[in-house]
Order: sequence, then structure tokens, then C-alpha cells
Amino acid sequence: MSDLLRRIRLPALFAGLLLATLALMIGDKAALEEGGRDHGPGGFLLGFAARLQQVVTAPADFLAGTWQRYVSLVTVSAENEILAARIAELEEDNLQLREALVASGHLQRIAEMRADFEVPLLPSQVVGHDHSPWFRSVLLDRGQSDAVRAGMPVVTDRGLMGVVTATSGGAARAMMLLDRRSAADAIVQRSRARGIVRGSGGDELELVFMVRGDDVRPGDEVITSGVGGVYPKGLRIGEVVAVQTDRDELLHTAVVRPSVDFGRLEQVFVMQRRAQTLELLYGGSSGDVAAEPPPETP
Amino acid sequence: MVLLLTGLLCVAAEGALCALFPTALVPDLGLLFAVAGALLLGPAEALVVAVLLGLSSDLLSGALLGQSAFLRVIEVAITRTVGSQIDLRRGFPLAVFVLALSLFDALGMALLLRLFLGSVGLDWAAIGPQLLRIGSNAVFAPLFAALARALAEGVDDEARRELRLDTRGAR
Repeated sequence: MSDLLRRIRLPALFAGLLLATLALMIGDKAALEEGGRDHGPGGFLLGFAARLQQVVTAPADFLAGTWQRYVSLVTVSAENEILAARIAELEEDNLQLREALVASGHLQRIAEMRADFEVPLLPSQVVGHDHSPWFRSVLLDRGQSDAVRAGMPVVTDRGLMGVVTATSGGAARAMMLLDRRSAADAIVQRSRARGIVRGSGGDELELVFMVRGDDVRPGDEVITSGVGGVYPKGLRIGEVVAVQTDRDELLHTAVVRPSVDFGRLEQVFVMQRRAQTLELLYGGSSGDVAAEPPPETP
Repeated sequence: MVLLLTGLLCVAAEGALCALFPTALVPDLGLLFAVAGALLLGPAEALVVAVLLGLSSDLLSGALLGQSAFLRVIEVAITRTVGSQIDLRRGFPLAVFVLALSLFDALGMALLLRLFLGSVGLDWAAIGPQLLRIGSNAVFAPLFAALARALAEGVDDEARRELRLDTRGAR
């Protein structure tokens, strides 16, 4: 009996591990569709990796920062003058607009609306990139302790970067728009043509849109439509650089150059609002999402 | 244990290397340590180490939890089978073997992605970086195997020295 057990021990371990990892994959897919991986089993590892990656990248960041500061100093005086003039110009514009709004009696109504729409932005540092060429994600230094949850959109000063997919106490992982699994409902700002922006796995995005009546041209700005609930309306995605037309196809594709420079991500902002489901991103059947719940407090 | 901890540390630090260098040029350290484990450890130990390395890779990348771990289990079995036929302690045969194993890993990953997420296009955007990474794995494999062997031998020497001291004390 013990001889038999010894003989089947290794094949049993092999089969058991294969089945266990398969079960994990199935469970994880369901978890991601339901809203991402918060409180996951690897929370500790995610947090540890974020700290370790900060330590590893610190010397390189320091050198790059010192060089950039030096280069900036060379042009800072001239830039300062231009910016001061620009601020004065904008303040003047702002004043005139306020006057106009007060005059039309809309200011109070807009102030009330702001309370409904304004979303807190949490600054976060990118500390590591995905080590697999199959996926495009980054590791952020903010996590559940800062009220970051899976499903929250991530933006930069240039536009939409992606969405948080997993969190731990002090770190989070965010999937970039460039990832093949990423999808965002979008509109062309000029013509209001609607489509879906998908990651291509490379450095550009694809806008898939209906042919009939849709006017999409190179140079058009693409922004989020707000449909689907994952991303709020009006975030910059990128600019159309080419339209691939095929007369026989019902759906056409446009190549979109992202407004965010994904190769040089350093500081990002987590929008502290989240959708109830990430089904749209992970290939689920239903994209209907109800109104977002208010941001959770830590 | 030392091999596992070093492997986990390397997997955790890999993301930082990917922020400094192009991802495709950074070798898959989880895979290299799993291969080293298969060659240096017993079969059961090697399987457990490979699964843990695979799970940590999955947690730190965009993969589904279990995706790399599943492939690592199969890769350990392949490595042990091939290792019993070919001397993989030498640099060149190991590099060629890791080249083939990395190709298997890439195809396996594509298959699992298709199966579970339905999202993999085998276009140039996907194939180019994969080929680079396969080459990078092959180039770095002998180096990491030597590092793993040195770690394992260092631990063995330490254990032997402690055993000798204990025996002297008993006398």
C-alpha cells in the first residue's frame, strides 16, 4: 500500500497542481468580471513588489530627475515669463466668463451640479511595469489604504490611462488602455460618431465604428462617451491618425494615437469613482451599468 | 527554500527592470528560476517552487491568477524529462532548450488567453516582443542556472559545515 502511494505521489501532485491552477484561473476570471481583484490572496505580494520596485527604480529615477531638473533650469526663466503672461490672460478670461454666468443666473446651478459630478483625483506614482509582453499594466504606489478600489479609472494630465484591476493595502495594479483586453466606449469630438476604442497590444489604439453616417477623419479627437459606466464622459483618449476603410465591412477601424505617453508614465491620478462591474472590459455579455456608488471611505 | 526566495525576489523586482528597459528584452525570471529548480531540486520540490513562482508572476502581471503557474507545472515536467536525456548543466544545450521552452510558454499563454479571455491576436504587435523575449530568455538562461547552482551549492556547503561542527562537538 505504501509502495503504491509512493508511486502515485508524484503523478498525483502533478495532476493536482494542474487542476488547482485551472480552478484558480476560472475563479479569477469570474472575480475580474465582477469588479476586479480587491482583497485578493496576493495583496501582500503586490504591496511588497511595489516597495521593492520603488527601491530598484529609485537610483535611475534620481539620475533622470536630476538631469531633467538641470535641463528645465536652462529654459525655466523664459518659460516663466511666458506662463506668467498666460496666467494673466486666463485670469482675465475667467473673470469675464464668471461675470457672464452671474449675469445669466446660472452660477448657482452650475455650483450645485459640480458637487454631483466632481470626482476626487488621487495622485499616484507608477513604480513598475508589467513584466509580461502579453499584458500592458502598471503597478501604482496607492492601494486600499488610500481608498483605491478595482474599477476606478486612472488618468494623467494628458488624458485617460486605464483602469485599476487589482489592489492591496498599499499598492494597486492598473490595466492600460493599450492592453488587448481593454475597451472604452468613445465618441469622436467633432462629428459625435460613436465607437469602441480597444487596445491593440502595441503602442496605438483601435477605434471600431459603424460605417453608415459616421464621419471619422485623421486629426479628429477621440474622447470617452461615458456609456458603459467604467469611464466618465469627456476624458481625452487620443487622436485619429488613419482610417482603414473596407467597403464590404459593416464596421470600420481607425487607428488612434493615444494622448497619454504610455512609455513615460510617472505620475497618474486615480479617479475615486467606480463602476459596479467590469464586464465590458472582460468580455461579459452585459455592459449595462447602473449609476456609480459614492466613493468608499477607507 | 533559498532558490524559491531568490526567485520570488527576482520576480518582484522584474517589473522595475521593465520600467527601465523594454519589457521584451527583460528575461522571464520566473521561467528561468523554475527551469533551474527543475534541474537542481527533487521533482516534488521543483513542482511546488514552480507553482509559487508562477502564481507570483500572475499576481504581478495582468495575467489571470494561475495562468503562468499552470504552464510552469508543465514546463517543470518537460525540463526534467529532457534533463534526463541531455546534459542541461552545460551552457549551450541549456540555452537551446530554454529557447524551445520559451516558445512553448508563449504558445501556451496565447492558447490560455484565447480560451479564457478570447482576446489574443497573433499579429506582429504580439509576435515581435515575444520573439525578443524568447531570445532574451535563451541568452540569460546559462547565467541564471549558474546563479541558482551557486546558491544551492552555497546552502549545501553551509549545511555540511554545520553538520561537521556538530559531529566535532559530539566527540
